[in-house]
Amino acid sequence: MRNILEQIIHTKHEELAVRKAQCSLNELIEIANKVTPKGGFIDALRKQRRPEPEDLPWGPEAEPDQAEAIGLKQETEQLAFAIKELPEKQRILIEQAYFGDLSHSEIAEITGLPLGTIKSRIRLALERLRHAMK
Amino acid sequence: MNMTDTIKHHLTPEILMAYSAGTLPEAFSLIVATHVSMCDVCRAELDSYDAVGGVVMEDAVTADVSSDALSSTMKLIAASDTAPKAPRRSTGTLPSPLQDYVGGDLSAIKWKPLGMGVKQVILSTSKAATARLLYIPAGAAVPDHGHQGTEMTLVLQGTFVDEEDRFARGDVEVANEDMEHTPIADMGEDCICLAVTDAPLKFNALIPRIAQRFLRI
Repeated sequence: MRNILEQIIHTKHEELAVRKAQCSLNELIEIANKVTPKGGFIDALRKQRRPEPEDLPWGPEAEPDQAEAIGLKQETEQLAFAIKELPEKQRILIEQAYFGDLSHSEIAEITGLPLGTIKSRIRLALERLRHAMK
Repeated sequence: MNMTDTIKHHLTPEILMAYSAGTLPEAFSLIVATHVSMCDVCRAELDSYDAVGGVVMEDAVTADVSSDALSSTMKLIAASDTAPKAPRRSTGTLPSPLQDYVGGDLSAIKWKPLGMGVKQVILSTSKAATARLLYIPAGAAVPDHGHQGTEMTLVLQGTFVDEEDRFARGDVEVANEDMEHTPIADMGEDCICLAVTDAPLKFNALIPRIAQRFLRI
């Protein structure tokens, strides 16, 4: 786990470098904390090369302003709460899908649940999350 | 490369979530990245799965890093180019993720004829699934076939119709075991698609029925 974490921090350094001109050290560490858990873990845990989509037409994102940053933080907390509130069976499947790095059919094999059940539980969980975020 | 308002057939939640979690074979990731490049609806949905993944990760894991991790990262940052990179955007027909595999736009594709004007090229990906570009002349049909696994077809140029519906640039069709279909290119323009399969196609006749190639639509 340690290696993966360091790999993430290193692969994210370019993203940070772009911002370093405008940041103090503390701000930089804060940004690092913000960017790493999101896509970072997932990138590093990936077994296969993953092609990435094109960038959006308006180019690299500007530094978000204070209000936006607070809004994002609140949304993340809201989402974390909504995930905790999911029925356990649904929450476990969502966690396995990301953290266990397993495809739905692999989850089906391990849990012995029919693939259809897994798919519908995940769909239900996502519906709940979508509803919670409205 | 924005065509969102014309795209009617999108990726499924399962596929987008699996892309976000990084569990798809490379060929399927390629078709997701290519479609998302053209489709803001799926891009937004993908962002939401990334957010869910981020929260799940944040809750699930903590680990110590070695004591010099911060300073070595700071060194990397100091040594990096601080200029923002130009956005990666294609101005051609093929979106950037696909151009990376082809080595350029349409003119760089090294087609191999399959007969009756249909051409293909297989892109180099991991073996778990196969990605190919298909060229179907206007009015011609891809031989009638069923599927053993999942087949996804993304239209890059032109239009095709099959028993299910009509698919134009940016539209993606997800076909599974229960489906047999005969995609036919529209008369107006030659059709170019990215097709990804996780199992070989089953053709329904020994000699594929390319005789249908001038079927009226």
